[in-house]
Amino acid sequence: MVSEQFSTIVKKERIDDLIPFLKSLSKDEKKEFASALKPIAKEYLEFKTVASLIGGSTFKQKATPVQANIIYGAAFTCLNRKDYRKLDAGYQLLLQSDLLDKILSWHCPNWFSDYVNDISKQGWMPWNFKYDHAMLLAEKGYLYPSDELIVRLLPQIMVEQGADHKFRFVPENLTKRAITLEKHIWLIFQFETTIHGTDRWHQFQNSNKDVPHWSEALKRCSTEGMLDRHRLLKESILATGRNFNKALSGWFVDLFEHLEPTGQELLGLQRELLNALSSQHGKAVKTALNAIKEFVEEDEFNANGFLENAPILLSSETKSVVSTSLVLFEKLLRKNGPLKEEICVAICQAFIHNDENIQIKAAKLLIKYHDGSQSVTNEIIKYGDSMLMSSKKLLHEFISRSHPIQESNISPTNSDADNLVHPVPEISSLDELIFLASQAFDNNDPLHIDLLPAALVNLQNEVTGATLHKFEPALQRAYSFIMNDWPSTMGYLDHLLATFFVHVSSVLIDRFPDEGTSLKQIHETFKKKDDENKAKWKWYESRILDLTTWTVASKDTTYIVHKAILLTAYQKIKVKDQMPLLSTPTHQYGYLDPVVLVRRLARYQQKNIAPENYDVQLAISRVAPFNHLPALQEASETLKGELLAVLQFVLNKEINPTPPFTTPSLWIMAGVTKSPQKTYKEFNSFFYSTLPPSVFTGNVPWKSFTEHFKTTRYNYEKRTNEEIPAQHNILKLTLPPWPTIWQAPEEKSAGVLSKLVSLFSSPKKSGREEVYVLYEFLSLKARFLSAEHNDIQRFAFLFPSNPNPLLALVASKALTHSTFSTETDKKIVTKTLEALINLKFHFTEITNLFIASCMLTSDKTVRSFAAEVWIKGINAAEIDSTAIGQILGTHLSSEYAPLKRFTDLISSNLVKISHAHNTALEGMLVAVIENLPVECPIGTKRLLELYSEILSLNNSSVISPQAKQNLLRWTASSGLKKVISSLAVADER
Amino acid sequence: MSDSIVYHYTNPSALSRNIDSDELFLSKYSEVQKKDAPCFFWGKLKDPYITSRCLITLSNVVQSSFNLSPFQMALLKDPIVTAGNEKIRFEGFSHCAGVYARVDILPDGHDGEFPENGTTNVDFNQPMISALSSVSKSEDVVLSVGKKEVSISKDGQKIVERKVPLPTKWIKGLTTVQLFLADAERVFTFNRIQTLQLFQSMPNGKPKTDYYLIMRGNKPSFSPVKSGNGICIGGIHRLRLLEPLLPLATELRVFPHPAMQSVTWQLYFGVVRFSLSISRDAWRGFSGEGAALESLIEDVPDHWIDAVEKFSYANQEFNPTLLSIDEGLDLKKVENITGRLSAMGMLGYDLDDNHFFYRRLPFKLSRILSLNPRLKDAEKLLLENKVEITLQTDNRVEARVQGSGVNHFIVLEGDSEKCTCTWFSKHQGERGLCKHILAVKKKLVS
Repeated sequence: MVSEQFSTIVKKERIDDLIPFLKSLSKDEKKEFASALKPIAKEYLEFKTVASLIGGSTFKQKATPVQANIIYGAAFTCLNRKDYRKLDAGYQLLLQSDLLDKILSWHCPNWFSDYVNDISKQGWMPWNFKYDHAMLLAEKGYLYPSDELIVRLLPQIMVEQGADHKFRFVPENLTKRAITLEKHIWLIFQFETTIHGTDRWHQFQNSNKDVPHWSEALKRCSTEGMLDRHRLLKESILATGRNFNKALSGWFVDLFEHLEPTGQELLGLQRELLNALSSQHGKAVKTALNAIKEFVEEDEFNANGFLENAPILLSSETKSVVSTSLVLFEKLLRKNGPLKEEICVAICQAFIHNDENIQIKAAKLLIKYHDGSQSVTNEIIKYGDSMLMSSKKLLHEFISRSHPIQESNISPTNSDADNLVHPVPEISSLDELIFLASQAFDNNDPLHIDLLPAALVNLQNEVTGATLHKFEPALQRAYSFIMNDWPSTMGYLDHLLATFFVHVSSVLIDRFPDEGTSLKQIHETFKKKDDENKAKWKWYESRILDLTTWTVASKDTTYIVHKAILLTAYQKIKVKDQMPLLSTPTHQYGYLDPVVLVRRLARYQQKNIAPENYDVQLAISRVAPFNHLPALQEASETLKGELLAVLQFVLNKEINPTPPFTTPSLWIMAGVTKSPQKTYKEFNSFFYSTLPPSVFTGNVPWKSFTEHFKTTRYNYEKRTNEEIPAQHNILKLTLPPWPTIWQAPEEKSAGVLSKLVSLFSSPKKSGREEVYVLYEFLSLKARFLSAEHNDIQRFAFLFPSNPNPLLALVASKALTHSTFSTETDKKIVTKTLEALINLKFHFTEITNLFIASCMLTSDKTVRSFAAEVWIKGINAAEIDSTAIGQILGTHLSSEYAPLKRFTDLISSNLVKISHAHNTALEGMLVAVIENLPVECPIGTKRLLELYSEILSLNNSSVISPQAKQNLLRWTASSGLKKVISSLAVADER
Repeated sequence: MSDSIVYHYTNPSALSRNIDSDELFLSKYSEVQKKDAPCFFWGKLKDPYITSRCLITLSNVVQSSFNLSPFQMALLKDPIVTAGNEKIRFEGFSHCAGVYARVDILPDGHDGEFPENGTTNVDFNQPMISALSSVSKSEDVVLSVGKKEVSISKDGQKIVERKVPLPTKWIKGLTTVQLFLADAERVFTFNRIQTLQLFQSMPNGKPKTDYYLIMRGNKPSFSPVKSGNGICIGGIHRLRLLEPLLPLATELRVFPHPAMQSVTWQLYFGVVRFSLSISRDAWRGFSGEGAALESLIEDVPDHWIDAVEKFSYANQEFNPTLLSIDEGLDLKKVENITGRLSAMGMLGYDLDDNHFFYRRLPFKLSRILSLNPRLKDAEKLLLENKVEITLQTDNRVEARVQGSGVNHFIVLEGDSEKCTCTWFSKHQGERGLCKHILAVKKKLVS
């Protein structure tokens, strides 16, 4: 009855009948009505998809605004707080002041005040709920506003929207109620608010730029005596140090400055200003320091209090804070007060900064005011290591000259222990295989893709019908990798490995049909799911692929290498062949112990079985740089024929290739592994010698330059896209054409006949060899990289002795711009560097290009990685710093990247590692200077300062004529004159 | 997953300024407080400036979040305080439960009395934190944890009630992190200059890759390159929380977990210590690490807990041997009791003193124990009879546990435990045992 009555009110939109209706309800009726109200509310208020007349769909609720208000009003009186909050999540009733007032005058629930106060605890405020509104409720006794609520509403107190929808600032609102200026206004100094954003509303008619409405209003109130000016100044400076966010803290600084405190007022605020020095925001500290500057020489100045803040001030990352503090300390020292010694000790803290100006300023102060007290001298000595040479020279009488960099200061990252390549534990039991299989697709270790197929081949006889069920979790996991969403750590190789495992498990099921039922069931479940998906969605392509035709969308042929090995393993399991895979690594980073390789090959030769070509090639490519002698000895005892000759060629530095060359692909792979840059005349007759040498060396032509191109931009006036000229500074590598390998080679050579043909036919230069050298597969074709970064390390570990061709690919793809265009580009470069740092190989021009380009990228992690590769390369004497310097100079000349990135890297990562590193760094800097243009780039001053520091450290001078010439040319620039003249001093010495 | 707790504070915490000294009053609340203990500490702080700075940093930690869950970000979780045995310790966690911070005021850091000892939540409100920033070195500040004298509340004055959705991970993190601390070893000690140099090498932004703390000669630095003796730090940007304190500290000690699952950074200011422990990665909270799970396999009898409570007082060194003698407990059973008790929120760990101390979290025990879903799942597996031991010899156990759609294979051999499930495959035991291994172990114990 009651609900029917209400339904009519809602239906007919009789809002005037609502309150009489609600008043008429008895307590029990109210209770009954509360439960009846919910379905009505749901019917009217729920948003539903409605077909739009102009096509498409839209979300709409059934209720008209009046109907909604009727329901909210009824709910407010009948529901409890929790239910009402749920129903009126948008505080609709609160914003309908007329209706709310009518209801409140008759019924105010006891939870109403808490309900409104709790608004301040959430992240958003109901639109249009204003301070004025809250105060009206408070004045009528319905609301006891909390400080938090007031402070959330206060910033908008002076903002009003007119009928023209434009916002206006109405300062008079501040004085509308006495309590606002007496009490509420001070809350904005206590709580974090958005007051700093209020002035930025560009909708204000009078605001073409940011106008400090709030600050101006407060200033006016203080001038007119409505606000205590001293308190206002005090609170605004205190608020700068109250742990508020940077923007808000900055706003209070602006307010403080806007109030234009006088010198006397500043002195009166001494305590607060000293307090602001601890603020975490530089702007507040700077303002406080500037204010303190005004009275630092007054007798009333609390010098002790200022001195207490020295650690924070002098270690600040903001240079101007440090230099202003030094100025203030100088003023205190000039007064020759009793704190002289303490101030001198404190000043030493400035030497933590790697900035010459700061250090020299501090050093000069010490020379002038340090009277030889031991505590100061001790402190100076403590900072000896972090001092620049110029400061050291100034303070030489206090610090002994015995502070050159110790040779022992070599990075521990390059200790022998780190250079050891650890062996990979062998999978020797079925248990180990089962646990490996269940984690292999997770990409926990880049070698799992090699270890799993090898273990499955080696231990296939131990898999019995009784133990087969133990592979259930691994199979389920393999399928979930194939079928489910792509995890962020998964690469295409993990998909390939999972596909391989699915195929192997099918073989095992066929072998043990009775015991394999549970595995079969898993197969069928996922197959069914795949079929269902296919039937359900048109765009869906089957995710369960055949191993032989498995490929990636980009058609990158690099994946063929791993696929070939997996196919070999699959075939072996299929025919119960237990001969081991040859290429399985025995050590980290893909290295294969040559002794183990010899033993594996011997097993093949004993049984007179020819190993798979790609497996042998990969095994040769992975030969580790140790155990060569014992391997040679064992090989000569156990191997014979061409394989013995190939191994002897790889392992013995002195041996040249000796014919017969029956399998040229193995010889060419052996040659590249042994010495990638060398061309053997003995191989001239091979087809492979017609391939571009860069396929094996990675040394492709490159240039960094400003490219002019055309881009399209929308012209809003003409309402059309138009082409406009644009330019960008890029690095371009000219790669040889992608290999045209359309068909997987293992399919080509699958037939026994073709194998025989390849074995017996003599190599011919004119025609394409049947077999590819693995390097030919390398490609990175995708226009936008997707998951390749999760595979790149595994690609690098295919060629641990010669990753250079891969570097050329990565550089051409991801280093075109020094600021990474995508996150995947950054990831692939980081992962490549991560792999590179562990490999032992010959550095060539492409390696140098890769490292130099990485040193200039936008990402600090990548730059640090590149620095670490350089540091390690110097330790191992395998890197040419001058060559890197030349590339850096070329890059910087073409404005590939800002010079600052490089100078920051020098001061943070490259300088003062060891004497050898400093010497190499000098060579690098000389080469950079030689290659910079006449119009030197921005930041050259800092570069020359660092160069000067290095020259001093190395006790060296400018020798290169080209560098001298460039320096002379740059003297025309006034900013560089001073530093260049200091270099000339170094020259004279 | 989230539970709700209502803190009832009689007054808000506040720093009130008097003519001769300031008083930092911390209002407290504990849901397990047995008797009415009005005040845990009342006395003068010897280094109020440093203490204030440390408390501000602690409040920054509890307000921070480093994963992608801004949910309930605005709600400030209150730290807990343990007062007793001449020490006052403040502990707190970030929202993501990946950063744990503790401020220790050592015996020389205060001049006061401990009318009662215990652990409690304390109200950390913004005005109080704001006021703390104005404490200077020359000031006298009196700290009181709870009211020394119960003041008569004025008419209409409301009790401060703060309803905080308390994510289970917060309490869980508090229990788990103690076990990580107990395993941690000190590797580096840096003076002030080295500390500042180290943090100068901190990368910008939020690097996703791990960084390593390495030494180059005398100079420590952060490097992205993995090195044998480097300390691995994931989510390195979290260390920025320490930056405001660095210029004030005299020393920094670094305590990595042996398996690099956490690193603790302890700053020394004479009579005050600040330690910050960060989890293995920014997206990993201590709560999910499961380090405490193994300790919880065996149930601890109620009378033991009573005995521990009777025997110990707040901040007292926890000595299981003494406990077993004094309370007549079976010494054999006391083995690994520290692990169990910390997992139950009854112990904290002091890295400098290298021992556990008694500190009962101010939350209901049932609440704490209900927080281990993996343990609950393991119990469910046992209840549903899904665990089958297939082989049991002296040093090897094999078992089969029914999972979803497949049977998992579990092997326990010596110290090694392995399972074929996804959790184990992914984390290889680094993040605690999976429910399957827990179930097998529980079955073996029973």
